[in-house]
Amino acid sequence: MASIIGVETLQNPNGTTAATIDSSGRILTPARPNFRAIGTNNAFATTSPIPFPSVQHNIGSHFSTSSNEFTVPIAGIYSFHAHIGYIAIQSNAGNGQVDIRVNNVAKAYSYTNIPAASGYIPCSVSLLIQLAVNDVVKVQFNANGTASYYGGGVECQFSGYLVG
Amino acid sequence: MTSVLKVDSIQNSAGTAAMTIDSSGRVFTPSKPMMSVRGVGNNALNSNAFASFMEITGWSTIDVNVGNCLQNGRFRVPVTGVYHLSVFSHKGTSTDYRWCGMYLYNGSTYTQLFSSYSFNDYDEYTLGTSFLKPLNANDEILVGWDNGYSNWNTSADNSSFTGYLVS
Repeated sequence: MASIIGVETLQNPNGTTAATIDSSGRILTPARPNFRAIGTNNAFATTSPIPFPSVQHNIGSHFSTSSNEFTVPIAGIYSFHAHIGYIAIQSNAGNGQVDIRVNNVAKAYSYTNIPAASGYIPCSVSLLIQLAVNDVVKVQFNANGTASYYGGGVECQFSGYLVG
Repeated sequence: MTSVLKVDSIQNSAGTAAMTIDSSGRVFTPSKPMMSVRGVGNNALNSNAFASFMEITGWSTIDVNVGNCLQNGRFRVPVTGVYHLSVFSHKGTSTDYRWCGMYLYNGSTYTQLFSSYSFNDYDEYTLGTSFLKPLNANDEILVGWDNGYSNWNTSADNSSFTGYLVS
């Protein structure tokens, strides 16, 4: 016979809430590490690691605006996405590359190449990866030629969360 | 001593299933709000966002709609929490510039959450993103293009919009 528990809150034995369940069966996990941070520079830039100085939410406070890095609080599988909505080549041909890096090693990248004299296209990348505690995740920008990214809040974003 | 709970199903105390655990330890959450749709079915100008914002008001393919989140083409938030959102447009209807964006409507104000933009030399640049966002119950997420530029290709394999509860 299947065992069933009816409950509204699940806690660690020390009393920390891990999950709540509402009357529709929807589960909220308020302690799950997750964050989203965005740019504030409404101009083209080549700064790397890409800065995300405006934190929109930061459950567990694991994203740092001073280093622009997420430090893994607990080993597990994490999902990340870097949205760079607008990479421009100002003159001459060029290319730009956006990496998600773990401990400064590129684990995933997206690449743009604009063979024309000028142009612009987006360059975003996602990553699902198993990480260890204290691993550090950041977004790197690499440019050849005159490539640069637009650093505004809706064009430049970094987010991530613990999947499980 | 570590406390361990062995159970096949966790429900709300009213009896609604929230979680099942199979014999391999795999966890399913059948009531998690989530939506995944593809293909532009209907669209309409929404000048409340900006003058030439063409909102997608209907999708041709509904892959997932748990919790009835899909409302008139929008993702309507059923319960306050942190959500994962994504939208992608993979092709336009011309080689003109193309724009892809997402707005939050909280019942009174439209707030742009993201945008991406491509040059006028090619019609198959992929525009889009995914990200996390804390949202309140009854918030609405809407997506679309700038009608001053190329429309999106409407086929089901050239656009998508998703949302689901993370925590």
